[in-house]
Amino acid sequence: MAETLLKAENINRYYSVRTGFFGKKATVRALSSTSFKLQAGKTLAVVGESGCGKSTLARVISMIEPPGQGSFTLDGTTIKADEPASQLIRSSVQLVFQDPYGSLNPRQKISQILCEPLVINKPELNAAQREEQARQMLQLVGLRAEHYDRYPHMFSGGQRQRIAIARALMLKPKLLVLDEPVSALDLSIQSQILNLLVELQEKLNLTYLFISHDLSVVKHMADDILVMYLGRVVESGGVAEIFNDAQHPYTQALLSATPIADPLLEKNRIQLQGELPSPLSPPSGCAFNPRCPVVQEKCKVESPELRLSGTHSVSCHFPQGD
Amino acid sequence: MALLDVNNLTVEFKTSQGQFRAVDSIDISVDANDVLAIVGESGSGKSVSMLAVMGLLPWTATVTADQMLFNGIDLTTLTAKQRRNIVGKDMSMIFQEPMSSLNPCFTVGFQLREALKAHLPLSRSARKIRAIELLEMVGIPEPLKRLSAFPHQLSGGMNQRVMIAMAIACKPKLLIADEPTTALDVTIQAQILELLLELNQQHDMALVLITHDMGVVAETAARVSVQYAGQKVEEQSVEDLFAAPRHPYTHALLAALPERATGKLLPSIPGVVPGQFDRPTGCLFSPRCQFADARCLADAPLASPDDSTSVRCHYPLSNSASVA
Repeated sequence: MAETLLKAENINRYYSVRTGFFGKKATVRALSSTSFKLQAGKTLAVVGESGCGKSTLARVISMIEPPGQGSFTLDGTTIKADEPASQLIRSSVQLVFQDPYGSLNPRQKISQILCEPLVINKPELNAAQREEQARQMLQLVGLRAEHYDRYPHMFSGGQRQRIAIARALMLKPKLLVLDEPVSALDLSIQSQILNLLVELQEKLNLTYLFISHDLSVVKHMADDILVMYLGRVVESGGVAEIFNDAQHPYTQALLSATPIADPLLEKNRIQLQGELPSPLSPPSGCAFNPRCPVVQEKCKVESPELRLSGTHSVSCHFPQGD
Repeated sequence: MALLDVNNLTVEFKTSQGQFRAVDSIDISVDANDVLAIVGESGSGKSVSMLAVMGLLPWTATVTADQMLFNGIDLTTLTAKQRRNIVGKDMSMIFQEPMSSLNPCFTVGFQLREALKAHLPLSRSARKIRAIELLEMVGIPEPLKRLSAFPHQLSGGMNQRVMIAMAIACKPKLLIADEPTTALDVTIQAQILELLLELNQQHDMALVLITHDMGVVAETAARVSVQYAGQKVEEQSVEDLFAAPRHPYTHALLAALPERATGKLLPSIPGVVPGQFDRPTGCLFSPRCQFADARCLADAPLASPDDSTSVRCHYPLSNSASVA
């Protein structure tokens, strides 16, 4: 049994916004009572459509923002609402962003990009030690030594994503939050980066929080999956259980809507009507009820809790087991 | 006769560092009611070739073709005015970013009626009725109310539906969809693809789908043309392509799909697509090809059409080669 690296309990994150210039204040429930566990050395994938709170979760876990309510425990340290996390614990979680063209400073050389985390967090190192570590990291992510003094514009998308991964690994984090790391890349480059992530996980015993909307990538990478809808977890479980035995109607619709690269496969697609409701005014009861194909009266009134159904947890009054 | 028949299309761009060939002698043939998918990575010239057909390229581009026939009309000799009569009417296009291809200063109703006004002899009230009908057709609830909405008031999926409504306003014979669902979520993507296929079947409209998503190709297209670095490397029916790709590039691309993976490591293609300054002399794929030999590095292969498939390779994989 692997040890639990991260345990989140009832994390909330609400934002208050103004509707219009003179408008009233409103609350966006970007993340509501989210709980999960992440085992060391494993990959937890978070899937869902835009606006479901995936990126808010990434921001909370990487301690860019404190949780609004609730707390999470990372490697024995508990981070609570409205309590700034220490610098030490911050450096054990690092982020890799979606767009490698936007996430690297075009005016910094690769050497500066890689050394900057060390300058800030490890002031005891001298320049030669920093350079040695940065060069080792460059090799580890599959870049050549002559790349060390180049600027980001001299690299292709795949190489830039390697640099972004190298930067995230400079402080030897335990947890890497990957926010759509391959969705901006071409197919032939995507597989190179996925392979790199798999190799790094084995070598460095990294734990990944993998955020993606591409289910075929998730199926390949993940050990466990968290399906989110409108700021709530609707289903969570192991990768095989979610893909073979999805019980929440939203998960089933999501799986059936994902195109599969096999023209001979017969599909019975569940067509979802309508679109994601605004998080400013979520529907009463179950958030999915306006689009749910099997909605009943109870769903419109009462919000379901995440509870165990069969092999994994589902947040639905009427889970659709086969 | 094919609806769209393009032979030996080449597009070159004038850049500060010399001519850049974005599309290199491509043949495209689309029949009425056909669904052709053009697949390729970024920089493979898939969008540029279709923009050339539409005549939407900027002045820096030089378009040459042996033949460019649409519905019997030669597109290469058209004047700008004659072209405007065809583009948007018989041949129309949907773009990738619905948010940035609609004008944010005008209501969607205005933009929709504008397309009708330009091409059809309808009265003001008839145009409004037709606009409502179109929005209904693409599945937008409360079409009358939506006519006076601005693009920023609608979601990405809704805006893409408006773009589709504009494109099909004049019942085109050919619809070119350039990555129509790339910016959208999967459940919305499924709705949009379903809509495009429905239009294709019910209104006898040929569809050219430009995409990089193999899943979308497998589920929608009848024929697939694979492009690499501006060249068409392979064209086959969708079933044959996925079962037995002939070109090593297609083969490697399909093997790199995560859903086809057998182990934890994916078979990947080393290197990157060649750019303007590192174009190889022989076959463009030769530096990344696992089967390349001296001949591939020296001479460029020609497209070899045999019955239903065409492959641009000296050593096409045989049909019996298994997909590893």
